[in-house]
Amino acid sequence: MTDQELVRQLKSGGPEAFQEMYDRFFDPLYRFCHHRTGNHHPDTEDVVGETFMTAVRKIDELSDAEGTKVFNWLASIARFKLLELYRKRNRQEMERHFSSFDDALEDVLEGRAAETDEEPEGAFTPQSVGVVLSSLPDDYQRVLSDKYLKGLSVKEMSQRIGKSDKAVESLLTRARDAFRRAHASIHTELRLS
Amino acid sequence: MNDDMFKKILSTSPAVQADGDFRARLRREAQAVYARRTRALRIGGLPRRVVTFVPWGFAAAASVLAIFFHLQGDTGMIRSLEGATLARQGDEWIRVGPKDKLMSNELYVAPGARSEVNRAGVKALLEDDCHANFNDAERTLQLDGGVAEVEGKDYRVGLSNGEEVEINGRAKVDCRTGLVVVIKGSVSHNNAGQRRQVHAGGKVEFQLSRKSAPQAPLLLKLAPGQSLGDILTPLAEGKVEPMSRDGQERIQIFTRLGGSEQDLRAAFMLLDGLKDTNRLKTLDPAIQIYYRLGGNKDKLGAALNILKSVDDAQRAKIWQAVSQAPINKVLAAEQAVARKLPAAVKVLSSLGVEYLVERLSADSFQVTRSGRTDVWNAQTLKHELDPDLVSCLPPEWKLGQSE
Repeated sequence: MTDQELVRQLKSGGPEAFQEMYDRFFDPLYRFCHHRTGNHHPDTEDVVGETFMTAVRKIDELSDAEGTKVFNWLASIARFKLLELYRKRNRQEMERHFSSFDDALEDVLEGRAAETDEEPEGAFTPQSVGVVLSSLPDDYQRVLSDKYLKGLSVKEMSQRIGKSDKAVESLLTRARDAFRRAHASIHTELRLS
Repeated sequence: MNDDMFKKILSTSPAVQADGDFRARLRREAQAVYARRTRALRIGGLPRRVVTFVPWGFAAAASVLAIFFHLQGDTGMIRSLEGATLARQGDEWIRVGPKDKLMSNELYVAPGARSEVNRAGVKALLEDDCHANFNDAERTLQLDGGVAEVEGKDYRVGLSNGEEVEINGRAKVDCRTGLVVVIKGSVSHNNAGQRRQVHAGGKVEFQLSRKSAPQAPLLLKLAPGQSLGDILTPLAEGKVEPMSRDGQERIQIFTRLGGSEQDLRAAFMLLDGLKDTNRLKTLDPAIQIYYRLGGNKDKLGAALNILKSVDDAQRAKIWQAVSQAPINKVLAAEQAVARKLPAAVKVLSSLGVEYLVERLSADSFQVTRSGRTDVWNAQTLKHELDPDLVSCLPPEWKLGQSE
C-alpha cells in the first residue's frame, strides 16, 4: 500500500489502515525518537505515545497528495513533542543541537544541500549514526540495515522486498549516499556525546 | 567509504527495541481513539462538544485537582466493593482487592460484583458483568455490558450498543437495558442528528435493537459450541454472499473480534489447513480463548500450547469451561495452564474461589484455596474436593480410580 493509499484509507476510517500505519511506522518512529531523547526509554515512550495519539486525532489534516510521506509527517509531530520535552526538562543544549541538525538533515534529504564526494569527517558516535540512520527514508533504512547489520546479500534483499537486483543495488547506492551526506552535513552540529 | 567501513560505522549504533507492553498498550489506546473517530464518521456524527457555563470557582477547583492528580502521576484508585473484579495490566489481568491502588485503564467487573473507580476527572461505580475502558486523555469511558454510575464533567460514556452520552453531573448508564438515568446535572446525546439535553430526574432510553458494533474489546461474541470456523468458512467457501445481511454480520463479527484483513486471511489459511480432526479440536478452543480474551497472537500461541499440553479429557473440560463460562473462568483456565498442567492444577470451582492443587509426592497433595494451604493425602483430597474438580486432576495421579 502506498503512502497516498494509506492516507486515503485512514481518512475514510478503515480499520486495516490503522493497523498498517501502526505496524509500518511504530518501530522507525521509536528509533527516531529514541536517539533524540538521549537514548532514554521512558522519555521515548512519552514522545512516541503522544505522537501517535496526536496523529490519530489529526489524520484529517494530512494531505493525500502525491509525494506525501506518512513517516515524515509523524516525525514532524514527534519533533514538536521532543521540543516540548527538552523545554520541560530544561535541556536547552539538546534543543539547540537537534533543531539545527534536523534542519540540516532536511536540506540533505530534500536534495537542497550541495553534493559532496568528501569523506565524512570526525568520529562516528553511536548517537550520530543513530540519529542519521533514523532520519533516513524508510526504504533507505531498511536496505542499509539488511545489508550492513543483517549481512544479507543483494539477491536475498531483492527477494525480500520484491525488486530486481539492479533496483536494490541502486537503492543501496542512494541510501549510502544519503547517509554519507547527511552525516557530513550535521557533523559540525554534533558535539553531544 | 567501502562496505567494511559502512558495516563498522552502522554497527556502532545499538539496535533500539521498544518494550512489548508499551507497544501493545499504545496500539490499544490509539486504536480506541481511531475507532471513535471512525464511528463518528459512520453515523455522520459532528463534534459533540456542548458549550456549558460552569461557575468559575468550580472550574478552577477542578483544574487544581486535575493538576494535582497529574503531578501525582496517579491514574486513580480501583476498589472492589464485592465480588470479583479484574484489571488489565499490560497483557495480564489481575484481580482487584478492596484497597487496591492500581494504574489500569481497563476493568472487568464480574456478574453480581461491584467496584468503584476514582480517577482524575471521573468517578464510576461499575456493576454486573461490566467491561470498562477508561481514557483519561480523551475523557471517555467505553462500556461493554453491565451498569455504570458515572460522575464527571464533560465526560463521555460510550454504551455497548454504540450510542454515546456526555455527562455533566451524575448518571446511571445501564448497558443491559439501554436506559440512562440522570441523577445530578445533565446528560446530552445525539438524537436523530440533533443534540438533546436531559436534566436531573430525566432519562434517556436507547433502543438496544438498533445497536451497532461495540468498540470495546470482545469478551464473548460466539455462541457456546460455535467456532470461528462455523462463522467464517461458509463465507470463504462462497456459500454466503458477503454483501448479504448474513455475510455482513459474519464479517462484522470478525472485525469486532479485532481482526484486520491480514488476520482474516490468516484465519482462512488456518481453517483451510485444518483437515486433521485433532488439530481442529485443539484450535477451536484456542481461538475461543484467544478471542474471548480480546487477545493477540501471543495469546493465541499460548492458548495453543496450553491445549496441546493436556489430554483429550482435560481439553474437553477446558473447552466446555471456555464455551460457557464468564471471562474470569476463562482467565482461570488460562492461568491454570500457565502453571504447567499437569504438574499443578488450578481450578475455579465458583466465582472467586480458587483451588490450586500440587502433587508433592505420590500420596501427598498441597491444596491452596482462598489463601489457605493444606497438605492432604489422596484419600482426604478425594473426600474434600468436589468430584468434578477431582476429575480435572491429571489421570496419572490416579485419583479418579475407585477404592
